[in-house]
Amino acid sequence: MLRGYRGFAHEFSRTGSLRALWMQLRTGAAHAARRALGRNASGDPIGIFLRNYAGDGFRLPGAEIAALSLSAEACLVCGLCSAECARSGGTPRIDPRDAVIAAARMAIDWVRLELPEPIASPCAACRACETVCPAHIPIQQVQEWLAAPRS
Amino acid sequence: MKAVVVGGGLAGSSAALELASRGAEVTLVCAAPGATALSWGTLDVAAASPLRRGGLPLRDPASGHPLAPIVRLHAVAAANPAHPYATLFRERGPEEEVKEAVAALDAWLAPSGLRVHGSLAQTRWLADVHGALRAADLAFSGAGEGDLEGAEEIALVDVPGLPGFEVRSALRTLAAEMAAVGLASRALSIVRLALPEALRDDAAQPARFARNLDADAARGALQDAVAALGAEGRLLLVPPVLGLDPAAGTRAWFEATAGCRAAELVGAPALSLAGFRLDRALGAALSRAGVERIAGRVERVEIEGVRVRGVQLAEPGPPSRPADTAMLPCDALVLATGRFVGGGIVERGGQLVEPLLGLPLHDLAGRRVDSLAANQLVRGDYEGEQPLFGTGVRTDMRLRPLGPDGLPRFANCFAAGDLLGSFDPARDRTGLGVALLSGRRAGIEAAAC
Repeated sequence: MLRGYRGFAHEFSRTGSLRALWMQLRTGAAHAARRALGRNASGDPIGIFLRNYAGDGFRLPGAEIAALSLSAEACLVCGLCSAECARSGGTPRIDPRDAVIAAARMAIDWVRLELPEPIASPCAACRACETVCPAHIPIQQVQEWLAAPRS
Repeated sequence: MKAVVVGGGLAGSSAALELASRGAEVTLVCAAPGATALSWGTLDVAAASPLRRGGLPLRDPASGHPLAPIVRLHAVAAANPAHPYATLFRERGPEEEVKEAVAALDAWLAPSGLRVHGSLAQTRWLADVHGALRAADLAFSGAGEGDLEGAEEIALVDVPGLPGFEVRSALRTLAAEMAAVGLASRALSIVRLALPEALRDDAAQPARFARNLDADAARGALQDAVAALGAEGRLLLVPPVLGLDPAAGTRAWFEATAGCRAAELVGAPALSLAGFRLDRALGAALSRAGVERIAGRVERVEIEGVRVRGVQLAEPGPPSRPADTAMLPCDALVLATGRFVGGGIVERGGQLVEPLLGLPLHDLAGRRVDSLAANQLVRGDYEGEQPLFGTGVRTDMRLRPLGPDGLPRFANCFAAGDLLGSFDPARDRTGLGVALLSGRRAGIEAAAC
């Protein structure tokens, strides 16, 4: 719990995202209130989570996204993707490694964090990075998913 | 004669190039770059690490004189009879075997602009990005020119904004380590590369920065800044980002512009582009030799009695690397699938497995370990021997993997590189030496069958 707050505080100091801060404050208050009112006394934990927090924009990742995040967790941070990207003349605004690490974080954090702006402008999608990835991470899909508009 | 090599690191590439030079029709199946592409700029057949425990002695315990790499090489082979070196050097001594292998590797890589520097007669003192000293023997272009021995003055080049390189920390470590081995008389300093505005942002991405240095535009912009670093008798040690393409000669340009010796620091994965350059140069050598390369995974090996008949490829990886799903028939098979990074040994259902042929695995001490989990082979002693890190297959004299009965399992299947067990490259400091020597030998043996 405390770690979660620290994470948000860090995210806030880095991105200045008021939305992240507001969500954190709101869910922090809502959690206590809902516990007090006993609204999540029974039922399956995932159901309770969704019921209680869907209104705050929290949701479980879909199966496809979960698979993507899991595969991104295999990242060795070896940097071959960045090297191949540079060699083949790609000019993405984000290092492929950063995108993969961001996606791997999703598997743990569940909540989609406010990401820095450059991810919104995707790369040329040449997939050169994927050809050298020792962990076979679908880097292109990861980038696309990170760049997709958030509902 | 048709041969299939599985694995595209230094071991697999060496095997394929040897086979091709002996007239075989070679197909190399490679899923992705492995540990070779993550290597750090040295070849190292018998290096030593002067100030850390484990590995080989640096000096003769009796006289205190530094040992030449060739002496350490003999010591490695003698200390552990199951070591791949012991097998490889049984017929001919290490001198000839290594000399021949290094000459062959140099010839393969030279057209791509990558050379092998050094010899087995003399230890080369190289510094890495953390400032640690390495008693290296053979090293590739880049780090290979950075022997501290001949320099009157050593300057670490700080590249502002480059991640993963803490120049002050490296300087302190290097000063302490040089003093400990008696190289202390050389002056040490930090010089700062003044990056022009246009290159400042790219320094955050080492690969991008390195690519820029390969091109004339960035070289022009950096001309004055690099020239300002030079001084008479100085050795400039630069982070390992001098170029992505070895043929562009970026280190040589840096040296000529600065007007004094310049070399790269030995790298660490993620910052160093040395492994990437080696991987690319090996790829180019394979293309020149006419080796057909297929990107994909081997799913199954076709077996008939004691012979391997061919390999069946699995689904292709990413769509950008289409793989033929057909069966590849072969007269000889070389397995150079690596160890844990390359996927030559995996843990499945809590047991260590060699996934292609189910070959028995042995740890450093020779125990059968293929019914054990990886964490049962790790000890809580940080600097002690870890049985897991020496795990691999055992072979006969001709590098044919042994079956459960201790006899070669197949007549025409050979193993090379890290898949071979009974050695731990991190402790032996054998670097890429086992990959090169065993890869060549496996290629030669496969061509003869």
